[in-house]
Amino acid sequence: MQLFGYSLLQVLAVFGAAATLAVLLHLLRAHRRRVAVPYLPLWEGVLAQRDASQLLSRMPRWLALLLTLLVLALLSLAVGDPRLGAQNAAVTHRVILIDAGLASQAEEDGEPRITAIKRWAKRLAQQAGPLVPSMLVSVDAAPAPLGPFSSDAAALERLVAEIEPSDLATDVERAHRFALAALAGRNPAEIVFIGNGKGELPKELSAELSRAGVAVRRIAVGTQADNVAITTFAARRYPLDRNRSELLLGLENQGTSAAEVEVTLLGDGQPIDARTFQLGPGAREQRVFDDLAFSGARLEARLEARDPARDVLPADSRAYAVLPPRKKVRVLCVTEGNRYLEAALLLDEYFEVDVAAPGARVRFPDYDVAIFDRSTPVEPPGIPALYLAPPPSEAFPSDGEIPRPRFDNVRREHPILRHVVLADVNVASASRLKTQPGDAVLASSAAGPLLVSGERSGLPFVALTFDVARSDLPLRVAWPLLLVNTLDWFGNERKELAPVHVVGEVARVAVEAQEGVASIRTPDGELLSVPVTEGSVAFSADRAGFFQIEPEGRLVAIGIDATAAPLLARGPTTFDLASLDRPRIPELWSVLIALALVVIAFEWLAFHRRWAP
Amino acid sequence: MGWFSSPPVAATKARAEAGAASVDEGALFDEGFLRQLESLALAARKVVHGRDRAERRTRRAGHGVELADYRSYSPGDDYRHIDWNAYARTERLLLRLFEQEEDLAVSLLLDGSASMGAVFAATGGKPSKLARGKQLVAGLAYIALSGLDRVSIHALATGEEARMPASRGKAQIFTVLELLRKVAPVGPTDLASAVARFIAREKRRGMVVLISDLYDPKGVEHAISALRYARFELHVIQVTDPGDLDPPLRGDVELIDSETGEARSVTVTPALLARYRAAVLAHRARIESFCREKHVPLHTVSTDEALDTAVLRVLRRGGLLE
Repeated sequence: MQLFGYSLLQVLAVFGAAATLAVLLHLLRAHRRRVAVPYLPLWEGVLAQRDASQLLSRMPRWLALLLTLLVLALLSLAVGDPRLGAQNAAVTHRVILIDAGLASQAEEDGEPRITAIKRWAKRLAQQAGPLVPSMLVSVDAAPAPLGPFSSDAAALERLVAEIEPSDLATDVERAHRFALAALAGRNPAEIVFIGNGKGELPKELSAELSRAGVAVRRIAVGTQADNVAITTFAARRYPLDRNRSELLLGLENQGTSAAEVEVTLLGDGQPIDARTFQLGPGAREQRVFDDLAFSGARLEARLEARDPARDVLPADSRAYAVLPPRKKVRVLCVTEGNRYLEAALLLDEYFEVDVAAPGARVRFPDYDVAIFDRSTPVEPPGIPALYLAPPPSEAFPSDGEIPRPRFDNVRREHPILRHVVLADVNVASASRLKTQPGDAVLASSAAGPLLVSGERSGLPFVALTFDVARSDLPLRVAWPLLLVNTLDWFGNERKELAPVHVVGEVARVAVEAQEGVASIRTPDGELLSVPVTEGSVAFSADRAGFFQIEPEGRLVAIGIDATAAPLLARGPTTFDLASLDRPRIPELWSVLIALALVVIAFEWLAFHRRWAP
Repeated sequence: MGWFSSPPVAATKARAEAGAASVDEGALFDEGFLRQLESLALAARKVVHGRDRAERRTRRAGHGVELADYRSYSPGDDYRHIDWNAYARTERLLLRLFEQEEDLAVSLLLDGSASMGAVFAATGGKPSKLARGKQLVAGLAYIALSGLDRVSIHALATGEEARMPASRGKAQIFTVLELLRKVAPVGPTDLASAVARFIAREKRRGMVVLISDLYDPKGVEHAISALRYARFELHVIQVTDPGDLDPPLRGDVELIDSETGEARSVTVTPALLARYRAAVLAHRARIESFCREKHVPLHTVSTDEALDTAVLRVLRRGGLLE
């Protein structure tokens, strides 16, 4: 007989402790409560009658203690899980690595590959027993043990049923290294990997496993390998027209046959474009979807192959992107009143305009851009600024006026002058501004500059050297375009782009709060709490989709790193499971428990005289 | 679960618990009890339909005024009672016999053994059997004293017995109460010996009321028979406690006899309790059968029964009051 639960020493310790307690209780019990009765002869008669009728009632107390100790001995032995006929059987520890990574989501014949993987895992779990204590490990980018080594086949089967696949690529090498560590000091031992058949272990790792005496088996699951993946999906707003955007889409046919696929773009769940692609075997293609007028934030690409057999992995046929939100530009107009200026600023809904009189006390840091109309601040404003006819000052020195200047030279390539036509604008007069080193003259007459850009105190500025009220510029389309282009140009300096995140990597997202806790709603609707550190949250997702940071409502798109995804295995699964089976040995613990129950019942009924004749 | 407690002979711990659980002996005869006695006397008077005081006729010929019978003259008789008219008619000397009016001698015998003082703690609030017995004695004595009967009280115990000689008058009730206060449950029950001492001491025959739980290892039959043979008009009041029939016991206990101190280890189960209950009922039935056979009225009074109810019930059904 061999113990498979507690060791012999542990069993003896358990019995010793329990027996000590039982003896103490027996001694306490032997000290009966003394109760005075008025007339004992009445009791004597009853007891004499009972004593005569029941032989067992005369059982002495020491026999009861003996029975109690016998019960404890049986229970202690049961804890040790003794087995008969196992003296010479070797115990093989087994780690079952279950591929629950991206490849396990491949669908074959209408069934996810993970289903077949779990089926194999269950059959292996059924082999678990005293001779084959098994540990289940769910594997994707990182191994996750589902429990310790166990001989309980039913419990292991239940654990298998709970496995869910993730969007993370499986790191087979890391999983085997984990299993090797778990099997350290256990010999004989074996690792069984169930999953995608592609990919070999590094020779160094194979040698380590061999030296440790760990046998490695692989049950390759998967009969089809053709797959078309979205490898790239990114969106951005046009820098100079942030109401419009463009998308970059990358596709790859990882199969051995040509595939015709249709990619549908969805904006906030509604189709906004669809295109068809012909991809040869192994072909890669990148395509730009340009000039998209989409005002939402969620962008999704869905790929569908004409022949479903050409694309067995649906997980990488969907990609997600978020258009960076347009930020409102807070504009401060320092003017004594300029109807043309204020009217032009109403054209863009993303401008939040405040008006202040020259000399008024204002907090410039509360604004993104300042427009000084025929005035200049006493101190540098500390924000980008547009100056309209700035009076001569230290920042904008002038040496006279230019009467009736004409726009003789215009740098049309500059973003500020995009679509702006200034050729026949009539101006009464302009200040002859003396440019400083680093200033760029964007438009000028022969007599001097009319539109200048550059930096003052480290911040960009644009200066128009004439009073627009004394010109016909406000009557032209060029005027609002010039204003909007200028403010956009200032905004472009901040270069706000939405980064691209992939599953398994740590995504850092800036939030408004500096410290505290933020909530992230996953695509499944689950709410996660993450700490906010130095104005950003960091989290790692194991599945793709849109994640929303609450309560700000900020969206983060997590995509699959299709380039890192393993190639799918192809070929029927052939594995002789019987070769891993071990002989069954009978369990004794249940017999011991039953015996203990019988003794308890006997003691209860006989000694305590619980039955009534 | 409660446990039984008993005075002197029982275990010390049990004795202490008995005191805590039973009714305070000093409070037995408080003002409330005296008011209860007065109402009992009034109630008893109604029961006897307004009879005159001490008008109990005896069969003894005596010095009364009503003619009872005639008998032949014998030398030594008081010739003042010779009916000369009858001699003139019949020429025989006949002696007139008169019914003697005399008071009734009422002897109240209270069992003062230890078993009478035992009470289960779980039945707290109720008086012990001895306390109930004392109240019965006081009640009966008051009613008898109110009727100008002679009342004597004897606390039956193994040692020196407390007793009050035959006394008359309502004022004697305070002597009765004082005596009863001194009675404590002590020693084993030996009714036969105690009754023998009483008979030897009491020359005058009359009514005897024996108040006891009738737990006597030697049996109560000898005591009852002895009183009958001594021509006492005997009434037996058995005082019971609910705990006697249904003791609140369960589990492993060591039973100690409250009188002898004898111990017995037992595991009390519902089945055992049922058997015990049957044994108690059989014991009571045996005594009841004996009393019925000997034409001795037997009354049972429980400690959880109201005193006035108990006294009146005993008086009415037992013929203690006509």
